[in-house]
Amino acid sequence: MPREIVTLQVGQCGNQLGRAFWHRSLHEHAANATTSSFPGPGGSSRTASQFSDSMSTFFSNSNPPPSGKPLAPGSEILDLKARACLIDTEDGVVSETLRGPLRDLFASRQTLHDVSGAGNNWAHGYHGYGDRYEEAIAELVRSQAEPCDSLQSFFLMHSLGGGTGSGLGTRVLQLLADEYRGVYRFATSVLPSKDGKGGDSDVVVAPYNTRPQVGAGGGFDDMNDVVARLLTDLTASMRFPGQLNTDLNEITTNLVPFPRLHYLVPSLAPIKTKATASHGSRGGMNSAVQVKALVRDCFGADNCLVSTNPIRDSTVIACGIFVRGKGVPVSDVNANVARLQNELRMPSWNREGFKIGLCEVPALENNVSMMTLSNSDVINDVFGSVSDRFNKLWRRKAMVHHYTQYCEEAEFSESIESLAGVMEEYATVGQRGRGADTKDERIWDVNRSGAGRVLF
Amino acid sequence: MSTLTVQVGQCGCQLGAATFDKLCNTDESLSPFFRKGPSSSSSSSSSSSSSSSAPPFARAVLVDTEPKVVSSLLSAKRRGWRYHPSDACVVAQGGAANNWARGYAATRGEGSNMQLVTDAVRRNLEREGRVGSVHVVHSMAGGTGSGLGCGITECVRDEFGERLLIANTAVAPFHSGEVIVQDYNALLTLARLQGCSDLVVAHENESASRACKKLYSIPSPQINDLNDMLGSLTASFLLPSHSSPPSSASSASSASSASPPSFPPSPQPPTDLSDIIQFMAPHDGFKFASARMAPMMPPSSIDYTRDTWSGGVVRRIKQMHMCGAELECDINWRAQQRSMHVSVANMLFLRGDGGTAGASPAKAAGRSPGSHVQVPQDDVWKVDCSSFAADDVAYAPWNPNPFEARRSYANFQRSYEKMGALLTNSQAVLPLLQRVVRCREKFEVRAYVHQYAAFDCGEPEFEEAFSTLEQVIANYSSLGP
Repeated sequence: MPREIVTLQVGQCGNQLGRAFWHRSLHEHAANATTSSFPGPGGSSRTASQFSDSMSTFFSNSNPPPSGKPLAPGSEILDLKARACLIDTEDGVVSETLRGPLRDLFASRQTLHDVSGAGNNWAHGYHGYGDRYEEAIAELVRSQAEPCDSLQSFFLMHSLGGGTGSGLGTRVLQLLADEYRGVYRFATSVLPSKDGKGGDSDVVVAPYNTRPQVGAGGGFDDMNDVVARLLTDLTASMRFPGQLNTDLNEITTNLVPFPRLHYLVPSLAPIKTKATASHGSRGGMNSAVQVKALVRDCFGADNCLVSTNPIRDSTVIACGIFVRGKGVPVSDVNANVARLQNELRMPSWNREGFKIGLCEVPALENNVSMMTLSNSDVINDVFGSVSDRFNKLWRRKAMVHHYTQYCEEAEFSESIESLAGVMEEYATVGQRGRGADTKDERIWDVNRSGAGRVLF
Repeated sequence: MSTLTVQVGQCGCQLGAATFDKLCNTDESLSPFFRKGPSSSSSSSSSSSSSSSAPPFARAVLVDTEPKVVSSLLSAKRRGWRYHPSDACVVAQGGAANNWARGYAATRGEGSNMQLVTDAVRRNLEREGRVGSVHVVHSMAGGTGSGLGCGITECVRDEFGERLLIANTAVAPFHSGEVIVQDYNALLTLARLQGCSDLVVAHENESASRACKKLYSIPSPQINDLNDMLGSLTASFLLPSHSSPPSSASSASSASSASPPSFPPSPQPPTDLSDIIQFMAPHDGFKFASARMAPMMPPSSIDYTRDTWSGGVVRRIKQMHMCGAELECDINWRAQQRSMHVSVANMLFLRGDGGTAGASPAKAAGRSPGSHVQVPQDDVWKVDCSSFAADDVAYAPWNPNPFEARRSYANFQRSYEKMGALLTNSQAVLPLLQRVVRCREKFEVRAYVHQYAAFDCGEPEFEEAFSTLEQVIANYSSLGP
């Protein structure tokens, strides 16, 4: 039975990212497509590509209009549509998508766009557009969610810098939380938030800022492609067979020990795509050596999608290691986990905090590749710089009047407190990890009545 | 009496299938675990050739949250048996997310399709061949097997508990690497089973993997290898066995028309799972058992192995018990004084030597049907097992009857000349239980608890589970030194 994911791309950045993602995901499925023969006109038979189970996660297939009858996996690919909602407050990027090479993937009823934009104003997006379009967005989501047999997750792609992606995106997350209890929400958030409102998603992957290594001569396109790779790798294990399958919702269960500490820092290895990929492939190496090298890269600074100190120098609260490639033995990964347990700083209560996934179908460019998702206090590097920049503006109340058109000033102070709270929570868990050997040293206290919250 | 197996989650389904493979490969009666398939349409060769009759169906109910594993089991070609499609249930789609509470919640309340499962169980209970026990097979680590497995065990207990005994086979995960919250899941599983199961047989992936590496020479064992190993271990005590020797005087008339060679009938019905449960769990506070088996060896070595009963198989199994070794290769022959673990009850199963070991199928088929196998020279019924009841094996003083031996002429897997298995309800389970409650450290900081609380399994439920399991640990610890 398919386990569908509905993708919501909000704002300019979210929609550009979406384009890279759908492009990549189509290529990936094309590379693994199976053909079979279907009845043709006049009793003949012809060979055509089959709509597979693995495709049904991201795509729906149906008879072409006017019939539009949905088709189950195993059928011929006729009218393939992305399970996606394209949302923006201006029409540029969405219209571009609808005119571009991916146009057949989206019906116009899958889109919602205005013309005026949110002017990089979170409050305008959240309150202004949020109030105006709440109903319409709910309807849009419903039209994608209802045909699913077994909806597993929502993917939200948005930036946290602009007004639409951050403001309206946050509003969308809240809407999903209210209407679809039990369906996990994954947010891919580009650039760190200036508020604590990421709190409505179950997991936030990659508050992400540019790195020279990633950009490597390209611009936004290359970066978007890296993020697209991240998203296809994240879902590879639920779409394709493997020795150790991991569902998206298992990632949430295993990597988020406290509700607020749900920021996962991704690393990819090899990080280079496209042109450099062929040089970078380590075809001749045996798998044990290869896996070891990939692990080393993922815990260094250069392969991390967030601009921070290397993960190996941080306190890792929990970590997922996901390998794509044919026939990589789990024992090779386990050997590295054993080594990491000794090398990494981890809280004493989560020394075994590793979740492993093995997917048999390799990523497009590499025979063997690895993605790690680390829940680590390294994220405070990012939050720290966000909060510094915020405080500089806030002290002079700069720009605030733009926001107070739509929201109360109190929201600002709540948000910055919330962010400070998350940072402090990460910091205490981190220190706890450092002080793991001195057990008496009670750095934090536990709130026994609250649901798993850490008090200060 | 027969046994109905309920296989829950990926691990439960696969291990269950591996166990049926082993249960089918025997010269004992298949009827406790299988029911007849529809007889073949052509009646011309009704009795002369057995191959014409359709393979029997496993007495089993398959439950999972996604159809992939279940449907592959339904369609897989098996040797000598199969699953009936109506015995497969896919419930609570969407999965359990490695979360015990999510799996358990799926068995409760409106919208849960537990009715599917209880209906399938009821259908099987109403079939011919009285069912005396239900055997639930599942893992402790993931969410589906553990949470759903507990919920289903409770459902079966509520609906049919008055006429059935329930045993669970629960597989403990590797010590690390599979699921980060696996110790939470194991904690909640074991605590629930303490309440709703009559006997819990705990297997460990870690020792199955070690057995594959050390005894079977499989350098990097796959999931299939582990299931095969644990399937053997489960079948080693489940297969029919007897409490008293066959009355050799009884006439050949009782030999049915079944074609495989039958052994002289025993005056008493064979031991079934409900007998095992009753014997192994004489007290509510002590329900946890584990299994040992010797020899364990790759099929290729079996033909070259000659063993003796008292000096070989029985002596090695006893020494495994004495020194607390899970595998033959861990035996410490120096540990001589008193057994390391105090036992509540031990059951020894000796199987062989009916003389069919290593016999080619052709040779076996060549024997005239219905004839009794000649009583072998190395008679399993003459083996002295009194050393297990001796003073050096420590037992709980309050159990007047803590040891029994069960035997069968049938060669285990038609290939082991002599095989012994020990089911032990003893302090041997303590290391597992102690490892599981170690997740208290995680609970002290309330890590991950919010994930469980979202499915009505909050701090009070955790506290209750800890106190249940700590009580069990205290029970077992109080047995001895």
